[in-house]
Amino acid sequence: MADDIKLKFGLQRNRSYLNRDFGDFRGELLRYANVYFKDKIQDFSEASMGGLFLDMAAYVGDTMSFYLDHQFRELSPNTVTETANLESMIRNAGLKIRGDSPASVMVNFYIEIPAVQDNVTGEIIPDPDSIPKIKDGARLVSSNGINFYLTETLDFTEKTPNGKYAAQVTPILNSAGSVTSFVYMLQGLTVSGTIATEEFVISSSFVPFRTIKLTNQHVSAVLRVYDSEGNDYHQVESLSQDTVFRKNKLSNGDTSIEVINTPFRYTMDTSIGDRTSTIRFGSGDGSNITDVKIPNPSDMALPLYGKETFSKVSLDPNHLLRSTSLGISPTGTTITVVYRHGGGSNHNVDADSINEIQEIEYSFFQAANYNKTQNIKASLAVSNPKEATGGSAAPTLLELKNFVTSARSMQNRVVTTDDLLARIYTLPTEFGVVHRANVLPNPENSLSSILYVISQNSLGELVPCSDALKRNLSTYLNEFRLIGDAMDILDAHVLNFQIRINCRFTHTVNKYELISKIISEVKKLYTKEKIALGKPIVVSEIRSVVQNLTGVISVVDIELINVSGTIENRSYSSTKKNLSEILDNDVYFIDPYEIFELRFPNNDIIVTVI
Amino acid sequence: MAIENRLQTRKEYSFKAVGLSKRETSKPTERALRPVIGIKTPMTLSSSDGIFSMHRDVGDQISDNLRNLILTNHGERLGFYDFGANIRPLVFSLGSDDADMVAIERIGVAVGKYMPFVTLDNFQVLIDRFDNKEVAKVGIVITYLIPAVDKLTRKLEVILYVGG
Repeated sequence: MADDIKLKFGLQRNRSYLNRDFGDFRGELLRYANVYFKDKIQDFSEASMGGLFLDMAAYVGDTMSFYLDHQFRELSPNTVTETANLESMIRNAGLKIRGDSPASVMVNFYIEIPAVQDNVTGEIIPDPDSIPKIKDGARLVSSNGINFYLTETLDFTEKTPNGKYAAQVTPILNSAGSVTSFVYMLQGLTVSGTIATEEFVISSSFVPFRTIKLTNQHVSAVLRVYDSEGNDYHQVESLSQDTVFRKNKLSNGDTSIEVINTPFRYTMDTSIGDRTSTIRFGSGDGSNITDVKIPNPSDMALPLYGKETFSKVSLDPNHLLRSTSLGISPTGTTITVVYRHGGGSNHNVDADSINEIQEIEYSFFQAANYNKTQNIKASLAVSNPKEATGGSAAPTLLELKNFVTSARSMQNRVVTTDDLLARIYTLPTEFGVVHRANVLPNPENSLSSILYVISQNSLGELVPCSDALKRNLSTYLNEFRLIGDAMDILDAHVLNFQIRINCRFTHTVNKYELISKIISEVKKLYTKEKIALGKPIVVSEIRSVVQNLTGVISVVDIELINVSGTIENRSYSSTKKNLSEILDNDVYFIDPYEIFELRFPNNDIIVTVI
Repeated sequence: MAIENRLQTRKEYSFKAVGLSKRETSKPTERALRPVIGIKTPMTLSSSDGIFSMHRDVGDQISDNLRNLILTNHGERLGFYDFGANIRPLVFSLGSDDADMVAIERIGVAVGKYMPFVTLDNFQVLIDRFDNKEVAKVGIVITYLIPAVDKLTRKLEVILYVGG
């Protein structure tokens, strides 16, 4: 075989400007000296003086190469080794460094309310004057000594729109069969950790971007920051964010979301080294808050009055920094910080291990009888039906490195559909939960889109989102949308359906058992987690599942039928559609604003054995 | 002196009587024509070899290198921690059989690794018992051969200052 000329005579320089070590440098220097200074010196063996000089030069090159490589390595989150550089990358990527994470768990709160006779109807009802509220911040302790704090106020008096108590109410009967009292049960979210309060005396001298360092490590949440004048400071992601969301409880029980302006704000950073946290305030002069919030640049700009020429004027950027546009820096006050700290995997306590109540605060009606309230307090019991989850050790440096790469694609605005859906699904749950959403262009207006949303009720059925949720969604998304984006929020259409399966079984099989198995397996295909707006139903998937069950000889026919309205006390969505018209090559296609729901699988999967 | 012949007009010169012109004497000598090998130590400035005085004889260069190898201790050479015979830790004990054996072994290992073309022949320790008032001195005398160069047995004497 002929030689490859190109390979033989072509340029085959194997150059490497990085990763050169002592041996590479020495070899290269030796080659150079032998080529160009052969007549001056020949002995470069290790034992010779020439070799010694060569070694020194190679050593310098090796050292410089090492630091050059090191500098390059420090530029990438995948290869960075110095903690300070990694910390800087993490902050640039917008990631929050955290310490040990706390665990959270829903805890059942049981109280016994005495029964009274309704003056009007004569019914035995819970004494309405004795029903309390349990305020947030109640401290519970698990059997292994971990503190859990209640994060929300539990209002046992709260009623649903249909007039029933939101709490689960169970009557207690005496031996004679008459109701003596009622046990109320409400679930509340609790979070593990320890709540600490620290005070910081702030001098009267103005310091822009003043920082205060919290004593305890692993701060999981700052609950409140306020000064001695009563100003509440709000946590923001960056000091340029001048608004925060605030939740408001409406008179009808709904929670609305509101955007409020907050000149008193701070950011919190956690050190990667010791996992202590630092609070950083803004640059505005707190003693001068009544002044204009953003200075007029012309006040400090060019002195042009009565002049046609002017010299170069130096501007002091500190004048701009003293504005409140980046928040207030407190002066001459005392800052109080209430925060929760601590966490770790040992906080993931077992089910039924949170039984002890350490601190709790009730709120009763004025009319409540003192003795009754004492009895009700004494009746309080707590228990966690499930184990606590979420407690974990602080992320290691390696884990943080991995987060940096993925965090770089995050952004604090909505540009793409994925951004929008991510925002919708991360709406804080207290403002409502959107189960599924989809965005479509508006056929009426090319400059706007339509956001179709669907929610779930307490039974897990797909229902239209409440108006309150849509309003909250609108307020929430408005903070992230681009200025030209317009969006209509509409309800998605729920298509309830029945699956009718005709099949043949072997003679030996227990038909009822096999039918039950078919229903069980087909049900798994259409659980709440697997459905989405616009997602079609592929008949062959059902056929495959049924056919693969032992005892099924053949699947003769599978048909989907739309069901709507009320059938045998089962309430379906009102959407009607002839599904045979949307069947195409074994696939039922629906519009992107529609969603299939197998609402009552035990009734809506009908198996007929031929 | 030329001898005149009467019959013919010719002159005869003896090569023995002919001297060398100035131009001829300024030609490089044979020694100077030999290529330079390496830097001579201790380093000195040179007017003829370039910046430093240089060895032009392979044997001399190897002897020079061998002396430096024996005088170097571990950790002294940049980039080669184990370069050298590492004799200094033994200077207080040289003269005893055990220390001499260790020294011989160390020299053998160092030469074997860094100057394998040298064949060591004999090892001798000198204790200077007279000129040792201020700083005691210990000498090592090594005889060796460089078979690739010639068949000469060479001798190297190095003085180690005890505690100095």
